[in-house]
Amino acid sequence: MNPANVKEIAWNGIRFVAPAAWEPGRIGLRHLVIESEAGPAMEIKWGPVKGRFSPRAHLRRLSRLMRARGAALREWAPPKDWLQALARFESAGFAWEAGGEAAVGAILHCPACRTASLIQFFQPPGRSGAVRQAAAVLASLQDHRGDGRVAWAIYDILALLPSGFVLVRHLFEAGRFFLEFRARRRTIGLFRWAPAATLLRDRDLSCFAETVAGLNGMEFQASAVADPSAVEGRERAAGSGRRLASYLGLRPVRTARIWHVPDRNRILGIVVTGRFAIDPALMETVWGGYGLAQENRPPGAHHPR
Amino acid sequence: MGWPRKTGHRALITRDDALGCTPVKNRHVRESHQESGEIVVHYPVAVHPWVARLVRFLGKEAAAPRDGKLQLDALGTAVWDMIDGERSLRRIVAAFAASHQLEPREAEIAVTQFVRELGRRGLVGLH
Repeated sequence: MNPANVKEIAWNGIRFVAPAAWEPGRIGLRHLVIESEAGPAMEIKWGPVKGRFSPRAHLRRLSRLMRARGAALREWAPPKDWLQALARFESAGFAWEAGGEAAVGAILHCPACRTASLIQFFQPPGRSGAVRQAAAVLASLQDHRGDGRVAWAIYDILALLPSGFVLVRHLFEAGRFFLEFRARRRTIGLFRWAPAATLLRDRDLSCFAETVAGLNGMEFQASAVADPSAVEGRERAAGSGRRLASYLGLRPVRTARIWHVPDRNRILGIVVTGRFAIDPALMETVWGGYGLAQENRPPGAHHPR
Repeated sequence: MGWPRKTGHRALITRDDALGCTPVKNRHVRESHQESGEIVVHYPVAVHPWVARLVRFLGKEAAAPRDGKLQLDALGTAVWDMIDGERSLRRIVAAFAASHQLEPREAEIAVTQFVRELGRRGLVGLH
């Protein structure tokens, strides 16, 4: 695939490069359906496995399940370029047809990180090219990073978070994206709003943060650390009872950074919540890894800042 | 598309076909422009059939349709202005995405939800 016509998709440990016209259609915790203009193009599910895992044994179980649904799933010998792309995995290829639908795919197991994945590419009769495009996607497929951190690249946002933070909630609505991660007693919320020109038409960024962003109870001021278009939010100074509750860890403490990206017409935000005072280094680490994907960026160009 | 299902659940219209439809405004709808540039759509709201029957049963004259109002925000106004009876939903989505620098999928969801809401109120139809 031409690097100008591809995009990186990274979600909960899985990363791959897909044609630029493909967009996530359904997003689960460990499940993605990627759609092209013509409809669903690819589906991937993955998860950690304990003990032994045999892709062939799993394929036999899948075949029995599919038979119960009236579809014929058979073992399929992938072409040479698939085998080259999947050399680092234990794999078993499959193909199925049911009515006007058909797909080819593979069950994969990575011996290094012990993640099992099921990936399939839809190719209804009359639509060609799925197998060829699939080889390029499979060649780019990764299910772990060497540094233990987890990369996220979905729609136009990308993030590289410190290890240990687990996705607990995600929301992709028109104009508002939200991802929430948790590690022990700390929570990281990543926000993206658009279009910024409309959202900031009759209010400044601080006012936006306190109202639309739902961060009421915090006071915002221009950031001294980040770029000048950012505002920093801290809990409003409150009575001694509240301060004592925060000090004792009985009341969560929040710190936020919201910034405007005018040339992309977006607003980005990070909210870090913890039970005790939040280490400023955590905010800087998250901020360093969170940003907007560059249009037509080459695969692998992940770090936004 | 996906794994075959036990039941024969299929959408009545595919996404591709839906995006090829052209929204057309109801000709009984009036617009008024506010100073902010946003549009208020005025549309007739018919009395519910069982209310009309009850009114007739009571020997009263049937009530005239009420005037419903829908205040559009800036984004709604932008989409409303693009509905000209000629542009397909796909073209409106593309124009909306370009003018607001939105992701194509995001623009598609925003526009289709908005048009669905307009359709629910009888303000637009699709052909």
